[in-house]
Amino acid sequence: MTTNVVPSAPGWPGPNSPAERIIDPPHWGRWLALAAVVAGLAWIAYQLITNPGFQWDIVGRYLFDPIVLRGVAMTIQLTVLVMAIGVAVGVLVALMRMSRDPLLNFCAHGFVWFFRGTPVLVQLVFWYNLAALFPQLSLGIPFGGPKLFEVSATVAISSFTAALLGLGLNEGAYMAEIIRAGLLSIDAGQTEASKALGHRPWQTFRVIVLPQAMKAIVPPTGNQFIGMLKYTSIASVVALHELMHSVETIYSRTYETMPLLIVAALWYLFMVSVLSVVQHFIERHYLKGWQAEVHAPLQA
Amino acid sequence: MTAHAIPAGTAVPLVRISNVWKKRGANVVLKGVNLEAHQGTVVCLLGPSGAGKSTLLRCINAIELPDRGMIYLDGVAIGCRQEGDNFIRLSEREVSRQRADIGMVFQNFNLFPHMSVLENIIDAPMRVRGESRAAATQRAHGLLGRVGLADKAKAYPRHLSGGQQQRIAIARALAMQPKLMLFDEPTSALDPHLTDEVLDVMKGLAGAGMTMIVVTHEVAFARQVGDVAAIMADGVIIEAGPAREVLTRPQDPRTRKFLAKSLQEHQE
Repeated sequence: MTTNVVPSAPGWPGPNSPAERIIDPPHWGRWLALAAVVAGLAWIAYQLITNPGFQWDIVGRYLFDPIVLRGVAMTIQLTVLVMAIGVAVGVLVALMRMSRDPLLNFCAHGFVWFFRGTPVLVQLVFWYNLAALFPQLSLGIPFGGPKLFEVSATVAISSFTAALLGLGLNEGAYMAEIIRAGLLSIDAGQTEASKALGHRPWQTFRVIVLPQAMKAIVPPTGNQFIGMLKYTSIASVVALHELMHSVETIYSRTYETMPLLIVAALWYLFMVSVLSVVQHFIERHYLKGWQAEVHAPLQA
Repeated sequence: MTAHAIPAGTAVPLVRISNVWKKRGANVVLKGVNLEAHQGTVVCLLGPSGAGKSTLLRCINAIELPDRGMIYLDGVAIGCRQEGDNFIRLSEREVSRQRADIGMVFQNFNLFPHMSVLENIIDAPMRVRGESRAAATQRAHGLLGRVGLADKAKAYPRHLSGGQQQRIAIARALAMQPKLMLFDEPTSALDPHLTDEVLDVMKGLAGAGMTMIVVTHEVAFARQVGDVAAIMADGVIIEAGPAREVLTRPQDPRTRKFLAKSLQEHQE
């Protein structure tokens, strides 16, 4: 240790002599900004309390209205299913795009190109009106061969399935790119080391590459999830009663537009908050091994 | 190409590399390489960078596949299935079974950063060999002691020095109880003062009778530990034989030039 030697050098202050104090400069700008933010929040609070236009009594009356609650349930159900489809399709397409097989590569490219390149609104309406193109959906040998199974398209495609397919496939194209970016962020040496240990291809992906890629995949996926929660409101064009559509049906009858939009906003805020907490815990899980110090006695 | 001296008592080589060719793009990296490694010997591959040493090593456990030629481990073709005179390429899944018997240590360690040291070591024995956690853990602790890092089982790779990480990587490869160990420039990414701790572990391993093929720039290590030295240049082995002989009295002028240059770099 050199610290025992230095203080004894001639002309250096000893350990008991007063050391220089270091003081932070005053943060005037920060105090000014704080004052501005407090003033802004105070004004908002004042408006929320005193402005009669918000009609809080009506907000309270509709917040737990059965129609609104059914809309909330539908929004949650649709978001979860759409994201499940999106992630499943995304993993598949990302793996296809990263494979060395030219045909798989081409198909994955084509999928992403098409579903990212057309408006989701068009895709929704297309699925909803599938019956116009194919009145009968059947499983069997194409080009006039025997059919194993047949169903009318109007029966098979409800508002819900149309929304699921339209939003799910579109989301799959975006998730594919997010997942691909995550997988690309992992060094090729990790795959090689895993192969060299005798892991099978699927084990290399699931045990070595994917858990590390999750660090890069989770934050944008959380973003997509939250975006999708609100984006499901587009399904109202195919007459699906999710939260936004439910609220619309009420205020188009009662003309209490503002309070009912607040009801919807409060529900969306609540769901997004829950999702943010979930995302925090998932992120923390996948940061294993990257935190500063996990186990105390590392220095021998 | 003259065959190097065969140590007494072992007739059939553990590894036989037979006329291996490998093209990468327009560049021919390996141009008909022949080499043997006998049970319990240490073969050191030396030569200027770009000679194809690492590519050859990576062909031995089929991380890369040769375009032509064959590599045999214990008489079995690597990466291929033999049917009569034909060799049919195995699927990745089938190759993985062969790789389990060949340990590999990389220049950049390639420990799994999301796993603790212990998990790094026990994962493959459990997942690939189907060992119980208790058995794998017990052997892992033994191996950690052998590489001098018994107290690091719970640490994560990020918190270890390069030399410690490379010793863990050696322990991880040994946990699979391989027939053969491949080392791809194991000390090239290390600070000079950390190379000895890794080389010492490798010396111990050689002393214990492990068959090793080592790509290295450490001429002194090759001379001291290597049984056989093979010098590569431009995709071929230009000289091979007993390490002491090749590295002290080289015959090929290119070997002489390479050795003189690496000796000079060492002194600087």
